[in-house]
Amino acid sequence: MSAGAIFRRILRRYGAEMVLYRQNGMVEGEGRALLQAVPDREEETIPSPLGLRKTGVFLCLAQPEEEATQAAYLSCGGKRYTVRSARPVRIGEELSHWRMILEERDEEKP
Amino acid sequence: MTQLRFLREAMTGFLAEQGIQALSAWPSENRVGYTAPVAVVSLKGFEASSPGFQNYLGEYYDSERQAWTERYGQSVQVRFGLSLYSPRAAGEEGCRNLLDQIADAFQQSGPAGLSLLKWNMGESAYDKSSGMFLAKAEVHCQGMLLARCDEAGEFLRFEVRGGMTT
Repeated sequence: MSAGAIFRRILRRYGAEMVLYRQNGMVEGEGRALLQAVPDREEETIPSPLGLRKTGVFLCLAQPEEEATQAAYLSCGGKRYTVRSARPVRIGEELSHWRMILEERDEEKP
Repeated sequence: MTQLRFLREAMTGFLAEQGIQALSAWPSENRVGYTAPVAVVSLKGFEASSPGFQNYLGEYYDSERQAWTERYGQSVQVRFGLSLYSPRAAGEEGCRNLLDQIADAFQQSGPAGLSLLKWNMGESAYDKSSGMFLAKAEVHCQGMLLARCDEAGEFLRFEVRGGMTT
């Protein structure tokens, strides 16, 4: 079994539904992903001129079908995240999954 | 009691009246994701000085109390900081558009009780901590901190009012 297929099976069992969006709000892709909070010594929110800013950083592992280089936002479990970085993880020649660093997004104000 | 603590809110209120999305800096609420540019008002400096001997500004007729009342006061200069944030989607152009709106607003008037002396703006750049484009402007205003004095010589209250015309 290929590395991509193994990862897909793990996601089917343990992953959560997620949607990737481009900067302009268009859907980039849908699928499943594993999300895990990255522990940090910083406070969860720090003051900023615009209000209290959330500092939570999350690690996201998504299935290989999701081309995440154009992704700007991600929604998962009713929460929205900003994609800080996204890179493919390869095992040998084969794409295993996408590794993304996410930040929790503020509530939108129209 | 002076009305100095309301200065920042006066500028925020003035910009909002002109249809500009504005808020006073460092709110205690959670930050919201803005989809349109927003101006954040802070107070960068304040200077009060005496306009004459013992701050005396003469007498005026108080129609409410139907009596001549002595007026004392200080000339004040206020330096507001305006941080113009523009979301990534709106780009750096959002900062410039917001500045155009602010320039139009200042052409017509200024915050209540203050007269506009001068204003300036620096270059805009991407601000990593907010994830938005940011341009900083500074607005210098002038006003008078007025105190009314009753017959017993007691100061009743202080207000920031208008600029002195010469």
